[in-house]
Amino acid sequence: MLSPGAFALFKRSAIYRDGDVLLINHPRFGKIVKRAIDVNADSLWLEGANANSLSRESMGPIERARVQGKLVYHIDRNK
Amino acid sequence: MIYSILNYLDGKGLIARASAHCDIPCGIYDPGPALIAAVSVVRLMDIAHDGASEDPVALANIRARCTLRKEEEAEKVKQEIRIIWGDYFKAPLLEAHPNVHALVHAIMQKASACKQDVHREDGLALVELVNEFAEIFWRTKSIETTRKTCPYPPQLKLVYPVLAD
Repeated sequence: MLSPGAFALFKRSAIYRDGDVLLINHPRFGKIVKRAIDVNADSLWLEGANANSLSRESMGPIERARVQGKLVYHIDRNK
Repeated sequence: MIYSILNYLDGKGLIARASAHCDIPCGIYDPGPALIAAVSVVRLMDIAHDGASEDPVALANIRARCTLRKEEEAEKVKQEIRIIWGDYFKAPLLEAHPNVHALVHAIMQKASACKQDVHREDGLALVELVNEFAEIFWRTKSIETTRKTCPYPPQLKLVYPVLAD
């Protein structure tokens, strides 16, 4: 999981699957990184890895067009 | 080494930022609007039952307005409670107050009953459930509460926070 201050590389993809960690341009919360769940053709839902994260209901369904890429690599601060 | 290079580039503004651990931007939660909406449901039921006008058309108009507004206020109760429950109550608070799930579900059910019919006892029960939710909410903030009669019809006892200043 991403630690505070981590650098992350995201790649655009034609296919996103449940469990992918995505960079989202969220209409309310701006650029956020969340795990995809319930991915379908037009939209998907999000969940955070942290127990204190926003609820999936508060983030709502996300249009596929708002997905900017999926996490392919990250470098944490202590590396 | 790689982190240091990336950190340098980040300092130059060359790397876009994203939040992975965001919370609600404003962080303002208060059960007050839900309580006012619940009291409004009772008030609208009272007006609908009143039959104050002799004119049947005027009476139909009053009751149509009350029904519409009652629907909206009951829905507002559900929306306000859902937001606090879904966004404010996080794992540690839920562990400390495990009955919140059942209480919220009861509020959803009772608010729907208020939409479906005009039974005043359903409205009163809704106010009481939201009162209980408000007491739990303020307890999570270590703020005492008191029950006072609201200074407007239907003058029911509502939970208010006892604030220091």
